[in-house]
Amino acid sequence: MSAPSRHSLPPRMRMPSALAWVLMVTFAAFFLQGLYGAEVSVDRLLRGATNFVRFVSLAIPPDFARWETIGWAMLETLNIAVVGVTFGCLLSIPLALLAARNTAPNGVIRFVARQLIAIARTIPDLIWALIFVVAVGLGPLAGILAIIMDTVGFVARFYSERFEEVQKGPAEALTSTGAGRLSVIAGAILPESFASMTATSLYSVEKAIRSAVTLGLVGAGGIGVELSTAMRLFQYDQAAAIILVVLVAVIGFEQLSSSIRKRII
Amino acid sequence: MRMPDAAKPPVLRAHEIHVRFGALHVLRGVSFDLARGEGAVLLGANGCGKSTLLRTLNGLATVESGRVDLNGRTITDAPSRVLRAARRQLGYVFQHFNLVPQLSAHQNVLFGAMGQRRFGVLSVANAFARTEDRERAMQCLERVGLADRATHRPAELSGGQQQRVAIARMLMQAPQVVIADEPIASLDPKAGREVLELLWRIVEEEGLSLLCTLHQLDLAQEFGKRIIGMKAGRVVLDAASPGIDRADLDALYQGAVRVDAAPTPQEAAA
Ligand SMILES: Nc1ncnc2c1ncn2[C@@H]1O[C@H](COP(=O)(O)OP(=O)(O)OP(=O)(O)O)[C@@H](O)[C@H]1O
Ligand SMILES: [Mg+2]
Repeated sequence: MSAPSRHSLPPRMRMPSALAWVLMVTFAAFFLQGLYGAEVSVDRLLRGATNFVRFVSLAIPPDFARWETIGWAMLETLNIAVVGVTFGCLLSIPLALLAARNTAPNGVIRFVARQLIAIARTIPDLIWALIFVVAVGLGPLAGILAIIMDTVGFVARFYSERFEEVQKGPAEALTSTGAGRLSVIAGAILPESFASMTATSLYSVEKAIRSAVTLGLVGAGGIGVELSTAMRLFQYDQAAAIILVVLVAVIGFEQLSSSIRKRII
Repeated sequence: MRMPDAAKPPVLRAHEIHVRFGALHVLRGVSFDLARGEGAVLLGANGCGKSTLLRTLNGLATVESGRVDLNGRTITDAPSRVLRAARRQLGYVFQHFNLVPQLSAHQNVLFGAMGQRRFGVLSVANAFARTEDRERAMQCLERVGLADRATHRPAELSGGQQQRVAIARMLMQAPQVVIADEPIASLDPKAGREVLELLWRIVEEEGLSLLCTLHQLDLAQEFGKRIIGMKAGRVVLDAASPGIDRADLDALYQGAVRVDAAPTPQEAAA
């Protein structure tokens, strides 16, 4: 080994800044308060465990007697998801083009489009469903509208980020032929984004199926309505059947979509 | 400075062009004429403003002052309809080819006509394009020797082949002037020479004007009948090529060559 360097070694760790200290202490306080607020106690945990065992024992074996109703409700949930995502993705394309730096016509429009997407994303799907149940009444339409908003919030953001990553060159080449803005977008930017847009859209169907299940809990149609009824009437064996059906549908679609994605990318 | 040839009216004229990116004064009063059928090589060190100059010629970069005329018509600050009409006459060949990676060579060539057709991309998408256009794109590929690669995507072609597809796209566009920004800088010497020979041959056969930047002085003297030399945002040399002293070319690469290193006239005066 050579002689020690004449320069002093860099420190092993840097002292966290004052701001970092404040953040860490705040986090710790928040965490402890959360634990305290949940009133966690050995007693409650034990009682919870026995209740859970009771639920499981009542739920087994699952009761598929109402398989027809359950089947139709599951189909309705899938319908809500697919219709909602389709409209959501179609709406997301223009919105994302207006929101992406390289395709937006100007800064003002870009700002507005980004805010719209942010609003769609920030409000959770259940709250969208509650709003639309008030607006259009109970049933699948409210679910579809909620899924559309949820999809736009997620998909439009991904699309626009993808558009911004597209290489400039091909678009410049088409611009240089004298082509108009829309032609350049359709000829250079969309082909390059297509694979990742499809992957995002498929993923958003997966996400939408899961959220369409829960939307039923607030009356926005689909299998969630059946599930919440069964739970409320303590028919845990029927609830278990519904949960199993949901599980199979979600896992089945995830398999399907991941195999499609592999083929595209 | 070279005087414009009265017999040949300039097809492209740059007049006192200034371009600034923030504090950086990139083009500091650039003027030149390009006659119909004239082929010129633009030389200059890295960062002297060549690409910026070429980009102002078809409005990809905006000028601070000065103007560009195409066939006597000013395209600087022109309405977008006029600018697009001008771009159709200016075929651009890029260093990195700029083909759409997901599309076939044939489709990329068809896109050369995008600016000329009423419905833009719809008129030149393979699924909807007129048969004459599809055939002409095929002929353009034949002229660059790649008819057998029509269905290949750019990634399945070598760099030289990709640049030839880009040249076919330029042919499809049928411009009056070709602007080539370092068309062979990403190619090996052999492929580069082949592409340069192809480009010059097509330009001559079609009677086009050409403005081409290069970094190889030998090739510049071999191909360019005229050489325009830039240094730190200015044209410092503009002469017919046989007869230029090699020392004058070497001088383009010595001293303060980059615009971001050279003081502006105001700074120099202060
Ligand atoms: N869009 C831009 N924004 C800011 N600065 C830019 C921009 N384009 C070019 N420049 C700067 O302008 C100067 C000239 O760049 P330019 O690309 O025109 O040089 P060049 O002569 O083409 O060089 P090279 O031989 O490396 O291609 C450089 O300092 C560059 O950093
Ligand atoms: Mg350059």
